[in-house]
Amino acid sequence: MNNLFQISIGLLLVVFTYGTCNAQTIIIKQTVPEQLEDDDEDFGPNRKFFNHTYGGLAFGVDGVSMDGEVFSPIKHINSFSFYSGTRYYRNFSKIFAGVADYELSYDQSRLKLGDGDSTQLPVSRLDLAKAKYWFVKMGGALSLQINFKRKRGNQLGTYITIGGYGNWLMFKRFSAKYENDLSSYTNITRVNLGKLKYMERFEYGPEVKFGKTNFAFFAKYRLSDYFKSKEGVWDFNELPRLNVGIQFFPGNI
Amino acid sequence: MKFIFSTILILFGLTLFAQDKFWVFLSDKDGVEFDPMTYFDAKAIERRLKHDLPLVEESDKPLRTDYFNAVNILSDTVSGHSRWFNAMAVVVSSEAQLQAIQSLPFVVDVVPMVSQSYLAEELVGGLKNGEKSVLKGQINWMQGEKFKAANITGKGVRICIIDAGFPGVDVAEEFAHIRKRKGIIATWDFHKNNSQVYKFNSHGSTVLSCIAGITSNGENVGMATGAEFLLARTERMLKEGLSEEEDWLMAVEWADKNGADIINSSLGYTTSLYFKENMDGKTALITRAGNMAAHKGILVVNASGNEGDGYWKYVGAPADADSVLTVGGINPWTGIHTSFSSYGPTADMRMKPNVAAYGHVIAYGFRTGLHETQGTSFASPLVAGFAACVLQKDSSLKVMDLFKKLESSSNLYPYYDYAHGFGVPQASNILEEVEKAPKTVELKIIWDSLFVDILPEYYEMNDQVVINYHSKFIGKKSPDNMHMVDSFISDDSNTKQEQPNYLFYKVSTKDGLIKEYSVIASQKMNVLKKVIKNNNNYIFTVWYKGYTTSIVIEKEKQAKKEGGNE
Repeated sequence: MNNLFQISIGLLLVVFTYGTCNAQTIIIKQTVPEQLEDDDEDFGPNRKFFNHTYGGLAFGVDGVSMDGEVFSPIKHINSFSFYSGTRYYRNFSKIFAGVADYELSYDQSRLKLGDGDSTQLPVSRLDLAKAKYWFVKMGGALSLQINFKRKRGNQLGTYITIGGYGNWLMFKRFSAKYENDLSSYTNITRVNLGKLKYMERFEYGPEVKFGKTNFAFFAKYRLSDYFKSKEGVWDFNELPRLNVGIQFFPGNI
Repeated sequence: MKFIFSTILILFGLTLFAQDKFWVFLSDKDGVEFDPMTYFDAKAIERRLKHDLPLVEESDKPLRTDYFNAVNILSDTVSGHSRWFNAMAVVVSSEAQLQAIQSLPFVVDVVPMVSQSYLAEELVGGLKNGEKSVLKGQINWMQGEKFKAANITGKGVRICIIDAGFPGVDVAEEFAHIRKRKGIIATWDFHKNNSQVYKFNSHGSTVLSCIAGITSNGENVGMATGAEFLLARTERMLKEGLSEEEDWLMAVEWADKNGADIINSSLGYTTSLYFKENMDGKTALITRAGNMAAHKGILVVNASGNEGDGYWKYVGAPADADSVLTVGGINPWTGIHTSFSSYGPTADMRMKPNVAAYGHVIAYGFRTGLHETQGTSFASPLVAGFAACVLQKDSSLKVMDLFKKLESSSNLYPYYDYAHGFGVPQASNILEEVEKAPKTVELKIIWDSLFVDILPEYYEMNDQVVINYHSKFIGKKSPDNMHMVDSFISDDSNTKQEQPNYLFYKVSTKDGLIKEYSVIASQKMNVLKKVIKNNNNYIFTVWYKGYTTSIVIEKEKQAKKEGGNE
């Protein structure tokens, strides 16, 4: 056993020494392509294919409805969405391109709890201080892009896209905060409700974007309802359907 | 829904009525009269005579007034014009205006103008240790102390700097010696159309200090402390400009008129205007302007760019022009190519960069004073200062002779690659006859392989390479493209005082087009084994400690020695 150990150590030393003796350190190595465009023949903002990541921020806009619908009132600054995703382009011509997005988003709508507001809530209104719906969504969008002011070189120019989006609501939550002195330990009580039975799993609607190089303004209108209705049981007012915001694209685009 | 439509309409409307800028190229200059003696500075005439150029070329004449007026009436504004290219920069706000201009019988071409240039500077927060060593190195790596000892300071040479602004040049101590002898001959701001250039972005001040600055304790920041200067502001930082390329072109013509011998330009254009395949030395307007400047006898020294570790990777415009001296960046702590310095070749496979200098420097900043900064922006003026010294030493040199002299004085010459060009120019090669390097390395063909052996008396271990990154090169395929992280080959505190003993090799065609090149830190004498069957009909060239040798691999198992520079 002792011999075996010594032989193993000896072998390791031989291997290590051989490796060290033969070691050469390459500091720089470059292989030159036959043509420079080989690197990105089809890829780039003004080539056939392109993709980039993006992040965005949007806010819900109250009072915009197709048929005079009444919405749950929301607090505007506290009702927002964060987006993060990847956008893929397929340029068909100098003017038209197909665009596909997939994205993850966090969306919250903080409700405005006024005296005159009669919106149905899934919790008691007594001593209710704050209430919000929040969702984590995963989804995508398909659009047609019109490049009406194309840039020279390999850069996105100015464009407008028109299309539709769809999201799966991975997490649907309702959070409420009560301020009362019912407990001898605290005067704040929080309630979190999950797996909300009265909510739909999917949403969809049209979307438009106006973009220029590293950013785009966008507007989404949700055609589908968030809330299911059940006569005499569930009669929730919808959350605002319109979202407007801005997306940023990092890097040299 | 109204909101959406209103938003879209407003945004759409903003764009539809936006003004656009175009180059309008005119057909001829028939009947235009031109007096060179009143237009050109005396030094410009002197330069023309030296280069055997006629005093009046068609490209020197002004535009035809009737053509100018006709285009002027049809456009919103004429923001500039180029004599060299017989072109006008115009602003129009409608398609009808554009069509009317295009339909004029003397209009040859109309080209849209949109640009976003890079200033080849990478911002660094704070000072690193060893900044004095960097300051010393940026001069000493080019043997600038030899020029200083010989009292060669670029005296009598006129350098035009095209940049983003020059705040502090009128007050800072680093430039006091230039002001004292009235060394700034002329200034012009091509945006504001006035001579007030001592404000805005201080990139130009930093560049000037790398050509001619002197610290308060008398140390040189650049080499051409005795040169004369023309300062032109053409770049606007943090703003996407429509006119910067146009301004650059007009600044070059202004430099010509005012007698510049050398132009330093630490900027370039890449993805905002062009595709990589456009970097062919003839597509970009400023590339053609760079070549035209060389034709007029002006040496244009341009930064290679900082895209080496980015998407673009290669040199931009005008660094792709064949007559523009393109300067790459050296990392002071590793002694070789700094990773951000843009690589060659050009799209038509010409060698670029031409030479290299420190890409990390100590230089003047408006609010910071002397500070460390990095970018090929600052390698370029170091070489421009060196070029001014060469021109003072031999004022009879014509522009392309100067260009070739700078290349041939460099430390790797006649070896070159697409990261370093011919390497760093050396004053000793200008001032004195330097003994040729002794044979340090031998190439051998044994069976199907080429072996590179360092001769025992010249072998040195590379203990400065702190880890074996991609080691065991022999018998293993290394990646096609790699650049070792700088911190692996340096302790980031002390700069290399001299060229490290690395071995450079390349595989190229008989036309000189490189297929593969590499830098190796040798850790044994038989450095390299290369299977020759994959390299049939290529030339294999090695550089080690100043000695270059090559071998032509004509067919498998046979090779012909081409010879070294011993």
